[in-house]
Amino acid sequence: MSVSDGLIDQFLEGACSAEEVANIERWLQDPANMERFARRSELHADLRRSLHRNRILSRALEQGGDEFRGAPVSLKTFGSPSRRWLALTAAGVVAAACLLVVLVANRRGKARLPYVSQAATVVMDVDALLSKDGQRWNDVSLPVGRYRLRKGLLNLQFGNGVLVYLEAPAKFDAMSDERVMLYNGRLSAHVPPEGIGFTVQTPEAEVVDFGTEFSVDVQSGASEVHVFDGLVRVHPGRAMTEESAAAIDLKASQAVRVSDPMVKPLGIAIASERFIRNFDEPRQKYARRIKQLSPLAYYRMPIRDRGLISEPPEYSGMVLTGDGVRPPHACGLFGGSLRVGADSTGRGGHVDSPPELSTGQFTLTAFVYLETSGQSGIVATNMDGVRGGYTLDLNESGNLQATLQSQDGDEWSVTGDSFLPTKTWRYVVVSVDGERLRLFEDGKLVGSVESAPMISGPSDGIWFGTDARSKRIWHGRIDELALFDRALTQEEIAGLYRAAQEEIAG
Amino acid sequence: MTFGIRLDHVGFPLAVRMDETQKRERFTNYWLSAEPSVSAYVFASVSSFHDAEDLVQRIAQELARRFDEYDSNRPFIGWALWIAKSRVIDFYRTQGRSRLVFSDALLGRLADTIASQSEGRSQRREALELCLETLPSKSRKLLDLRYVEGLSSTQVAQATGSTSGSVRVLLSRVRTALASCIRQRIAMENP
Repeated sequence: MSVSDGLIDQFLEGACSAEEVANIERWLQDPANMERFARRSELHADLRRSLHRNRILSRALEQGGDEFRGAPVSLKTFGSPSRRWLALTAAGVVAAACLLVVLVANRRGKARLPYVSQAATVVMDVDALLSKDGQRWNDVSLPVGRYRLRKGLLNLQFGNGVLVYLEAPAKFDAMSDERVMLYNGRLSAHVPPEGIGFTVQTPEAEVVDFGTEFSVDVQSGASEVHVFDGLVRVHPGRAMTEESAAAIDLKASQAVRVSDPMVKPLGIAIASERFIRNFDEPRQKYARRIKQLSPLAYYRMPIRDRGLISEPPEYSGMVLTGDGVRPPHACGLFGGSLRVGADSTGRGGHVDSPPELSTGQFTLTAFVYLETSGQSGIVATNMDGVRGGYTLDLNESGNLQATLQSQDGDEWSVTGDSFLPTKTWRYVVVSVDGERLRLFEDGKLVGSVESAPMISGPSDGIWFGTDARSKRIWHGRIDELALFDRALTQEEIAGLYRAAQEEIAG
Repeated sequence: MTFGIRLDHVGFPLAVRMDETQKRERFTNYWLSAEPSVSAYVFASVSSFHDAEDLVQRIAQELARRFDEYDSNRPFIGWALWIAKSRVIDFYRTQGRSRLVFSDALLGRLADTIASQSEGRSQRREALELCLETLPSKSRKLLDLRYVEGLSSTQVAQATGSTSGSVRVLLSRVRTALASCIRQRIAMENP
């Protein structure tokens, strides 16, 4: 006999007749059937847990702010695909917390609330590997203690709504709900007015916040403090406890490096591109403008632990990783970006089943950012030998170059007219209208050659930041990559660039 | 007289509290890893969500109360499911059922199967979260009525102007689509 999923569901809902129950019992004698039944039961249990939890979050969001205080959730987490800590442990943690009372009561013969010394809660993580005292730490609650973030990204909420973003590798002590000691690594903090006084201590300095957004980078015996909004006070050494240079106040767009507590901090340029200051992917002017032009696939490169996300989702792919220290994500032009090479674990992205290109026309738009110079690398390609039709790369002269392959296997290339600088975002567009291959940089046409239409039909995939042989790694970031099966007009391209500029200008 | 014993700020011997703190942490970690399996087991054995959730809660309390009995050389999940099985049998007895829905032997085999599937369970839960976000709003609404509001198929049918049979079929299709989505996502992550 066979039992359908529908009948299993009916059984699990208690809606089967006695005869059906007896049949299912017989059917379950087969271990393979038992496995199928167990897996379906798991789905029922997980659906109940997940949907119920989402409803609680949704209602809390509708009701507004106070419900979130002290809870492991923020407005930024709801509706986002990556909520692993919450997803896996929220219900369990609540139950476990209740049960601790039982444990203590049992031991002492009377109920007594457990001593809690919680410093922070995990709001969200992206592929994070956190350890405490050498053991992996999976709890959403972080008691006072020393932690190492060995991999990924972590968003913590301290007391009074202070949000902290940490990037691996990092070693820190959660000292209390209003103080963290960062031994090494990168940290960004958003401090609301009620969180004023939140303090980040480092081996070289103490940073006291006055309601603001700032980042701290501790490495190689120096601490850098970058202020993006508001005001912070930087005490070289430790405030009021050691002899040290005088404290200084930093305002928005100011940054300092402290190498020696006895020496006045050195003013440096603010590094807004270096720090991940949230996990959001804002959909403002540029993204809206792209969507109006109906791309085949749009890769916004959000900071998520679920691969390379496409709109529409059927063209999603994987983030490729290898050795390195920093996550395969970085601050992008709008939200996150794909980080490849340099000191990251990122080795690019691969889409197994990309959209089919069948018109002979094509446009690729993307923002690119080079972190180190002197190495050629791929931005995007679907070419693997004789298959595939396009490549956008940085050639050995340091110029952006677009290559097109026709149905007959002929190739055409066009090269930009300027050297691509490091640490600068550039907007690059490749278009093919069946007669010409064009390359645009920052909205302007920089190269054009006659060409045949692009090869049609399926390809073996698309690679971002690498090629099919994993040879030519991009060393930097790629953001907001969109593919079209038509040639965007020069006006449309200029319009996209303007929308990006307007969004950047705020 | 507290000679030779350090006390904490509320007057408990420090050594005792350290020991209990470690024990609490250990239990919390064990429970967090076992809870999805225990829930799956109880949901497979008890048809009402509310009964199942109450039962999971009671099982967790019993595990905490009897944590001293747990032999840490053996898998916690096996011990948790062993206690879960006893509580499921008790539940049916207290409900006055003339017979168990499953025989004792079948409940045991179900526990073994669920324990053997525990690997990858957290990955499947994560994938479900993502798959839920891709569902059409109509399907999501149906799931909410069933799993959040706790309505029976007949009540969902009344609320949506359908028949209970259609609701059952639709819900089953949505679950099958989700199961397929979960498989695809996991396959994509583990090529």
